[in-house]
Amino acid sequence: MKAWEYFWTGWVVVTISVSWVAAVICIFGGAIDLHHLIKDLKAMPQESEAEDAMPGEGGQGQ
Amino acid sequence: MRFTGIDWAIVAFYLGITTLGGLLCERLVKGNLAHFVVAGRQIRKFLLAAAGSAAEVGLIAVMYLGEEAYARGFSAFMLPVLILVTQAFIGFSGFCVLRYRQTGAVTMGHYAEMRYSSSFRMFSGAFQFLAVLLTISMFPIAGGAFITYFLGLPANFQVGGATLPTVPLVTAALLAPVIAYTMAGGTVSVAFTDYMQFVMAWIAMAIVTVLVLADCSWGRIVGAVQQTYGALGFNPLLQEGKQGYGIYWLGFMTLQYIYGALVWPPINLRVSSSKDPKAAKQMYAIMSSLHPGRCGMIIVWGLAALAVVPTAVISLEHLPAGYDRLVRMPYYLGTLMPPIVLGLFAAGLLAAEMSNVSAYFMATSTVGTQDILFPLLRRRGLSSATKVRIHRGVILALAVFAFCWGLWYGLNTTLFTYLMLSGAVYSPGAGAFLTFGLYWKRANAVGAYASMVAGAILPLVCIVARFESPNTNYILGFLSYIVAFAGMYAGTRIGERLGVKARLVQQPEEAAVLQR
Repeated sequence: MKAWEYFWTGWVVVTISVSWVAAVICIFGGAIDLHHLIKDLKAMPQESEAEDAMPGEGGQGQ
Repeated sequence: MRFTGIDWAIVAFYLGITTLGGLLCERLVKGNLAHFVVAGRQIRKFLLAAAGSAAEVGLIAVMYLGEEAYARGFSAFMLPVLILVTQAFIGFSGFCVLRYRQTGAVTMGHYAEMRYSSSFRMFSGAFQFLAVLLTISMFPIAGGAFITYFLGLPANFQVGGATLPTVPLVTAALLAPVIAYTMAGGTVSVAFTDYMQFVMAWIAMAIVTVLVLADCSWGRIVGAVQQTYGALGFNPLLQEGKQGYGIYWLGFMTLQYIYGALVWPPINLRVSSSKDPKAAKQMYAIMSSLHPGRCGMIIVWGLAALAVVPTAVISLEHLPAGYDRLVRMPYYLGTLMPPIVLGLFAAGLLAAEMSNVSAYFMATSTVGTQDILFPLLRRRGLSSATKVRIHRGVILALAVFAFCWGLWYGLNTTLFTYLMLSGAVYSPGAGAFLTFGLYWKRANAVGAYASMVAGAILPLVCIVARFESPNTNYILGFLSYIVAFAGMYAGTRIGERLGVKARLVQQPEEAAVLQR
């Protein structure tokens, strides 16, 4: 039981530390990606031009 | 009631900003169905991972992870272990996800049509819709219960002489803004608000973890688990009666986490929305570093609740059966926090709830429309704008159903076990037809039908029969995968003898895609 206790304590410390570093990266990376998403969507065609752009209804995909 | 004026102001400010941002995303959708459903397939890896993490660790996960920690002790950390192993496996190997994204499928149903047949698309879509509907119907009520007990709200409100129950009211109040912005901007709104909620929830979780450990030392937590559960609270492979997990649980969960991460609609829709197959693969790798720590923090809160409030008397008025253990952690957290921190955490919780509910309702309605309704209405030649309107109507109908089902259905197992079983109505069969379809050229429609039916039967039996023994649920859940994969193989061989030919989906070379 003692071995499990040490294992879980180490697990908590390592995974929480790693996840905080990953979260900071994702917060900044995600903001940049969000900016790109908005820019890309604005540049894409309006409804009338994109009527058939949705491939999910029996088409052959993108 | 623990909230002060400044706490309400923090929550109102956060809710207002997020909802407004989500509603404004409607301008980017421009009535275009491809934008509404898959955000024009333009989402990159960090936004995918952040939004995915927010959607997968919502308030429902806070609830069930807290309950698992309270009910299983340290063994509950086995859940983040499985998340790490399975998501890292998918993220670094590209198992299924690379080939699936290369097909250009929008939903699993769309893939089912491309690889098997149009009628199988609707058939599998119906199973998927049922499974996700049973799952998401628990989200609003669990969120409402959490907020009610966390804020210490009274069981009833008096409004103009009438007595109104609190939990249903809070549930409806939480649901309304989420449904409004999801109906407005679809996946674009969901990605934007999920990102906002990822940031907010992460800050709140970090602060609360520090507060919890300041209130309840690690030694006290270890002592409480030892006293309550003994070895069962530390070793996840042990099981006695209803206590502990055991080897059957481990087998079922490993398969469920792998295939849940591949075929479950919200995460699957994120794969479809990715800019390219490589971004979809990288999303899993990044999430494997985010999820375990995030879940670990919540489990620490649940363990602290076990140490601090195991015997507190808590009213369960207006809640379905089986919610006693579920509300212990929110009750404890509510007693722990000072003003301002309480408001920040409540905003973070609302963020978690909103991101989770919006992602799931969006994905479920996509299954209902793309895989069932629109194929049925194909001959009517509906315009893209009309389809977006129908999509929005389905989201609203789902919200009404989920609200009613959650208030009615009681739990006789942990919430987590219920969610795994409802998910298993679809995951084993879909996992089988996805894996065989991507890696075995001979896989055909007869095998796909057989896998879908065979995989769904046992989990449905568990949900309807409500077995008292947890092992029965775990064994049947594990067997559902074996039966589904065996059904896929046997069905394909029978189909070959009947002359059914396999459809193949054209896929570019993996190497070429990865070089983009």
